[in-house]
Amino acid sequence: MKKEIPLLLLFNVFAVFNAFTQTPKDSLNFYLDNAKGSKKVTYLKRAITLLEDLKIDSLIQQTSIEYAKESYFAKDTLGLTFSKNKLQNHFKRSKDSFSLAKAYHFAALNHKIKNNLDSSFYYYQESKKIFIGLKDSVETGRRLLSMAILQVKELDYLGCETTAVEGLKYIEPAQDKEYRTLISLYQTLGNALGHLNRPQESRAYYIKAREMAKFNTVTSRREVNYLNLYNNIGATYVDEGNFDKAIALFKEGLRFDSIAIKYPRQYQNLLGSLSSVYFRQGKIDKAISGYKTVLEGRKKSKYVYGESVSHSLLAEAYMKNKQYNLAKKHAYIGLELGKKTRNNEQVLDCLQFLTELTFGETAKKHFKEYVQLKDSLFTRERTRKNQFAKVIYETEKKEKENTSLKVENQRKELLIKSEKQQKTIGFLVAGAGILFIGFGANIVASRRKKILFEAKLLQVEAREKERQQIAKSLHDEVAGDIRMLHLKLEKSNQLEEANSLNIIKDNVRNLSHQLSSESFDKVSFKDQIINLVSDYFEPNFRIKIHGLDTILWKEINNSIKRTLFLTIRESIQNAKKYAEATELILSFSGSKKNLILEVSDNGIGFDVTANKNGIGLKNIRERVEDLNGVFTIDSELEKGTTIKIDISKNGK
Amino acid sequence: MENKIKILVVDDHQLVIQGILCSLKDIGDFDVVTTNSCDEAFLLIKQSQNTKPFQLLFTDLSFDNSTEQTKLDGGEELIKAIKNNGLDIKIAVITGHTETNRVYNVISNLNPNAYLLKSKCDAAEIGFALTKMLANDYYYTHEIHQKIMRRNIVQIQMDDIAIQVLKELPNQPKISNLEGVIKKSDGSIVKLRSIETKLANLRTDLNANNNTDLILKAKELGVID
Repeated sequence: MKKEIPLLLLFNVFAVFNAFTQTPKDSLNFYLDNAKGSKKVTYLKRAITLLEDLKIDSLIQQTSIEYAKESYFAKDTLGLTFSKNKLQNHFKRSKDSFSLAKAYHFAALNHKIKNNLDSSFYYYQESKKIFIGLKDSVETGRRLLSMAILQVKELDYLGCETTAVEGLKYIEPAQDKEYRTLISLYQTLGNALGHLNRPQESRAYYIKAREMAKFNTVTSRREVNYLNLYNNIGATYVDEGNFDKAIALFKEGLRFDSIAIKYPRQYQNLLGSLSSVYFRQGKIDKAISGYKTVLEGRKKSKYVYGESVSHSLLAEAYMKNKQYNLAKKHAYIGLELGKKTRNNEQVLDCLQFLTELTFGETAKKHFKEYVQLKDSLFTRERTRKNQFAKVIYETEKKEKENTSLKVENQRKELLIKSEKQQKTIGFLVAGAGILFIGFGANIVASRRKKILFEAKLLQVEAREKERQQIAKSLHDEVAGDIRMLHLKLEKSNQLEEANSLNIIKDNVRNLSHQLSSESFDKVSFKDQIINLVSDYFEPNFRIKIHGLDTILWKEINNSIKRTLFLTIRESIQNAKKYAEATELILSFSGSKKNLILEVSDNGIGFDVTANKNGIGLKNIRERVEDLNGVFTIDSELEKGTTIKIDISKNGK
Repeated sequence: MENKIKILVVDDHQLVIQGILCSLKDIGDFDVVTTNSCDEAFLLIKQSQNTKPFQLLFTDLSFDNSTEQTKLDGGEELIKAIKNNGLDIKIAVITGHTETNRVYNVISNLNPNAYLLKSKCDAAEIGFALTKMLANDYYYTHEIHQKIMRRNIVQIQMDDIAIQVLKELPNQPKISNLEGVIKKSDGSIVKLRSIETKLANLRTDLNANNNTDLILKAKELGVID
């Protein structure tokens, strides 16, 4: 139980802590859940602010887009700018270009609302570019559609055609999933082509749009689509002069069940179109009554733009019917409403009618206005076209530059890569080279060493030969002569002299034997050592040999053996003669490369530093060092002396 | 004359030959031939094989008179040639060489019937050696004997098992008790049979009559403490 108390406490603290931290989250959830209806915009905006505070990036993007949409529908430019800024910030933090593309999109919408069409066009273009980079074909297609619609508005039909066709490339593969965009694209394209006097092509796209319309799951919208298309397709026949077919289509549209109530706009359009066909056919009265019905409907639904069109058409019809007052009246209203709604087409028409309907100064004034407007429209149209073209051109140029830069980059990367590879290869080659050189140098060095060693061996052998010759002459000539003398002295009874001469003879003989090289090939080195030791062995001077069997003497060079032999002999003689030792130990040991001999006695020892090591030891040291060996001597007074020889078996 | 023993004496020094001749005259009546070179000596021995072969050969080891044309340039070469040709002749080495190396080399490889030293030799010793040789026996002069013995001692000292046997033998009442006590360097036990063989060899090497004598000799010679 006791244990649970602190646990419980901890839990409590945790819960409290949780409660605190969860407060903003709770309200966030509340805002997001309840962002519906009239409060949607407000809640969304609050949610975004909270999300930013809580740094929940993933939701910021989504919510901002949602908020922007709502703002656009409400024509709230401030809301759009707000969303745009949030998305731009989000992009800066997360580097998610989708956010940036959307920010451009909303900037475009913002400008569209403000009627800054070229700015809008520019931002659509920017947004489109990013979506192309993101390979988001749906968004790309939608931007292209928006651009195409803008171009139609600015009467840039050719530009529109290009843009729409490009949009189709992105949207058509998606087929029914993007039917709305696709339908709009087809319609926009058809519209543009209609204006370009290519009714057949226009109709083909309208028909395509009609095929796609079946995918529209919302019944009312689907029906609107169909009705619009009746109108549009009919218009293409009108353009071709095929009035009968056009009338049939318009009438078919108008026969739609309770169209006047359900879809007044479509009804008005169809009726308007039908009436204009009648007008063209010269059935002026029929046209006027149609136009009037349309005007009534439009007045009811306060579709001012449409009203201006209707007035303009009525003016034209009355004029044809020579009812000039009525014509004048409608022309003035049409002009006024046209100006109000920026419906330049109608304004121009009305001005044209008025020029004809009025006289004198009034007519002049209208004509002047007409010409001015026409001119300004023309120049504006041209500059717009140019601007759009420029935007597209520059973008394309940039894209080209980008691609060329990309290619350049790739080339550079490849170059860097290959350079890197070359570098690594270079390093490897260099490393291998160094290794090779090192190896070679090593071989050369070892070879040189070997050659030097061999040369030394030869030198040693040559010296040995010399020694043997001296020994021989000592033995044969000097010792022989002494023996003769000895015998003579003996015969002449000079025994004392004879004895001392005998000693000299023995000394010379010994010297000769010492100098002469024993025949190493006849007796094994092991036996030679034993023999050598035997020569000096006495019960009161015992010599022990260790490790003589551990070395394969056959593999050891004769010069080394000779040196070892002489070292042992010299050491034994020293130990026996000077050191007064009673025991001497010879130890042989060796590794794969080296051969070590240690000779230690229990004699009186001597001062190693006293530089009077005697000619014997000096000779030994020289012999050992001639063979690249190491000679060390260690002596302690009253304790004994140890000589150590470390010789490499092959001179390395 | 028919039954006289035929002897060949080879030495490069005429004085030595004279000395040997004098000594031999003191000993008995022999048919003695002398020569200064090994090549001639070998030729004489070979030629006499079919008529009246030499029975004894006295030879020095080193010859200073050898030239470029000399085939056998020393006593060792001569003895080798004789042995290689299967010539039946008893060989005595009479030389000044006392270095164990040469002595051991000659004795172990060429197995002469006698080894005498010029410096210590007299007619009596030559006579004794001669008798031994004719009786198909061996005679090494005392100094050479000592050399060989010392060599054996050195070798025994290197033999760890031999040393163990010599040290342990006085402690054990029976030889069989040594089994299990004597161990090889790797720790394994040496069998009784091997111990007995080792003891026999040691007795021979140290010229001992029995095991007690062996221990005494070993102590005397400094093999063991």
